[in-house]
Amino acid sequence: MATMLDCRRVQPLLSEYVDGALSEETAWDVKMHVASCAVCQRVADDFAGTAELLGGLAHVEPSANFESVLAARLADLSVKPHRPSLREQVSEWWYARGSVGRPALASAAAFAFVVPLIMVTLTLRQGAVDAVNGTAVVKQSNAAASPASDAEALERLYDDHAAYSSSLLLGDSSAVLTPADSRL
Amino acid sequence: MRNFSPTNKQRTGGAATTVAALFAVGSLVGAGVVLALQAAVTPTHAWAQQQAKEEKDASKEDRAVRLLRRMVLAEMRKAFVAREATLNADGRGTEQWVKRDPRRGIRRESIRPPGMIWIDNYRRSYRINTRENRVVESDSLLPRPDGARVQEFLHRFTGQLITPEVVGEDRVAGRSAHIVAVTGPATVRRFWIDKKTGLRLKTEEYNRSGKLLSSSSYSSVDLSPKFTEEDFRPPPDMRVVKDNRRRFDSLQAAEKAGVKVARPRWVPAGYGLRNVEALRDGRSVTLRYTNGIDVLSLTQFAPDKAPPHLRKRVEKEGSSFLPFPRGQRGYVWRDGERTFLLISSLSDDQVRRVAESLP
Repeated sequence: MATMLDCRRVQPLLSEYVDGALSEETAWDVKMHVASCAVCQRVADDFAGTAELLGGLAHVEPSANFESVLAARLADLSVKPHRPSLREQVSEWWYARGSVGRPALASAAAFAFVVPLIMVTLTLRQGAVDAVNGTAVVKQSNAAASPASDAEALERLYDDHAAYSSSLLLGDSSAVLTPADSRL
Repeated sequence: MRNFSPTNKQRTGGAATTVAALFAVGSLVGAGVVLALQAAVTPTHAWAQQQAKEEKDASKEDRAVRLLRRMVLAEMRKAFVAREATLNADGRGTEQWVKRDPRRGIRRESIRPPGMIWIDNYRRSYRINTRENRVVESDSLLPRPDGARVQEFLHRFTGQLITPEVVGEDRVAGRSAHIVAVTGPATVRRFWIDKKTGLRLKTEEYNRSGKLLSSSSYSSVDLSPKFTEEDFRPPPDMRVVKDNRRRFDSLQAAEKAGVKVARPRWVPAGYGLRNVEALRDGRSVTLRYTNGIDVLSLTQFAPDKAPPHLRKRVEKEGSSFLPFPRGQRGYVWRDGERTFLLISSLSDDQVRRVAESLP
């Protein structure tokens, strides 16, 4: 779409926009319209809220042969002996170790868990210190090196433009935190 | 014999009459000469009115420039902490703490929504995302408090393309302020300037049709703040992401460093090239022009290096306009293998003229 969309064209697209089902090009146009239109923004927020609510609900649908399978399983239960669950099996195995084997096994398991955890923590911490010292920084283009998404690359180009505008003597430096960061 | 010679009285009376006559004639001639001279040197009424208006305007403009100069210098030289609310045309806003130390730099911290901090200490600029524990580090954006840019900024007003004017008075954050409007070709920006300190208390931006694009205003100001060194440093233990751009002050400096870029032969009057930014991996080069209040960013992508979104647009339509926030628009087009993106607030005609002027 070459020109800015108006509300009549945007609102039918909002549901798909919220679901991420639009093409990148159309999504960008819708996004820019929503960013400048309080009405469409409210409608988009409503869609997003509804989608989130629905997403939180479990989807339950009985199978076609639900009734016959249920009947068979009930019949099975009536004749089969109780099969111990995994938890019950582990519990039985654990208590079979006796009062000597249990503490030894627990110590070994704790050691095996804690040592790798400490090693990972130390590695990450060293990485952070290196990063602050400038010895192991991640290099990234602010425009297009390896952006998380195409739209993000475009947003960064605009953000750089806005940041430069705000650095002018008669610019408004509040915009440094306004354009992209309020979207986070 | 009668003496016909005049008596002394008669002599005296005749001389007085002659002097009076000469005086009257002289006065008339003198008055005529004075009136003629006055007519010759006095301008017409309309011209005089025009001149008086221009003198008044110049005096108003001088006053506005003086106030703006004071504002710019105050922002560089005064320490303060302020709480600021911003609002964009889309209804979205932020609330920020602003800490300004002339020696250490500036810190802006978003209160609402939380999680974003910007620090600039004249050497480096840090954009900090506390939620993602990430710092993006780049060159400083702040003008140094040396006054050189202030002089340059004042020259902007000499060409009559940007006109400043004192338009009123107001109160902001409990302080009295002058309101100065700066009108450019595409944007009008209004500044509320504190009468006592010269600090900017509020800024509003409009497009030329009068639509409000953004507003930022201090709700409180502390002029005796206390800072710590940590205020102007990024927090420790954060992942530092360095941008891979090189910045140059001129095209010559960029070309000397091996950066190849096409420069438009035409940009609107008043715009000057201020900055060249080149990605180290050679994917793109951006030229930034400004006229003092508006910015024009022209990005040139290496072949096949434009974001796919832009590539698709130009492949489909040849050239295309894209909407951006705060009254800005993008124009993307292709010339051979090169793809260009121009972000500005220029008119359609001006945008196309810039594009067509590229070699």
